[in-house]
Amino acid sequence: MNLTVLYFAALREEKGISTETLTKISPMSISELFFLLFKRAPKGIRFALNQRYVEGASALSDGDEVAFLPPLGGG
Amino acid sequence: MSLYRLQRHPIDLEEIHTAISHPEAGAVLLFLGETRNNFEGRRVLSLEYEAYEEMALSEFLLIGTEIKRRWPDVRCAMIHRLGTVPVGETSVVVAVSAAHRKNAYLASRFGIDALKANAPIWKKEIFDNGEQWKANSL
Repeated sequence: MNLTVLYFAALREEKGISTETLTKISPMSISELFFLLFKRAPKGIRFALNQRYVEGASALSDGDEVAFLPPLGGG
Repeated sequence: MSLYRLQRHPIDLEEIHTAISHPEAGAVLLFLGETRNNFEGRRVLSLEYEAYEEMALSEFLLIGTEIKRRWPDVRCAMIHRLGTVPVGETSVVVAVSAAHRKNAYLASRFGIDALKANAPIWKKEIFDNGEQWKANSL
């Protein structure tokens, strides 16, 4: 499946990009995708699928917009 | 004007006040979050905000819908700055109007707490000798 992945704040700086398109990804959960991309557990990270919060165990679907959200600082 | 928005220029408080005031509302509260000049003794020069913009706006709407459900007489607005915000300026406004002050205070507190907990917005503090992403304490 194909996915659009968005990175913000510290994760954006770590990756050096704010968005990328991934292709030919096998079925997996959103937390497994984090592990694949960052090689570590998603400690303190929240997950969003298509602009809604989801649990780490949520399965990804073709065409999803995936976002990894580091600890928030709004206000 | 939209009552829920993100913007890169200073926030006009009178415009927001006008937008949420109405003849049945006897109480209006504007909560202003302002940029502090220090963190643990280090001097902060400015702050930089970024957001997952579409999702932040949809979270603002969800919070506004929940406020309306809990306190039907309340009108509210949420505006957040993005980009560089100099020290001492307003970075966020949660504005509410209600028939009486009780619901205005409840809705105001709920609104800013929910925004800080759930709106995907990030803040970087710029010091004279470095910078760091600053997470909210909830």
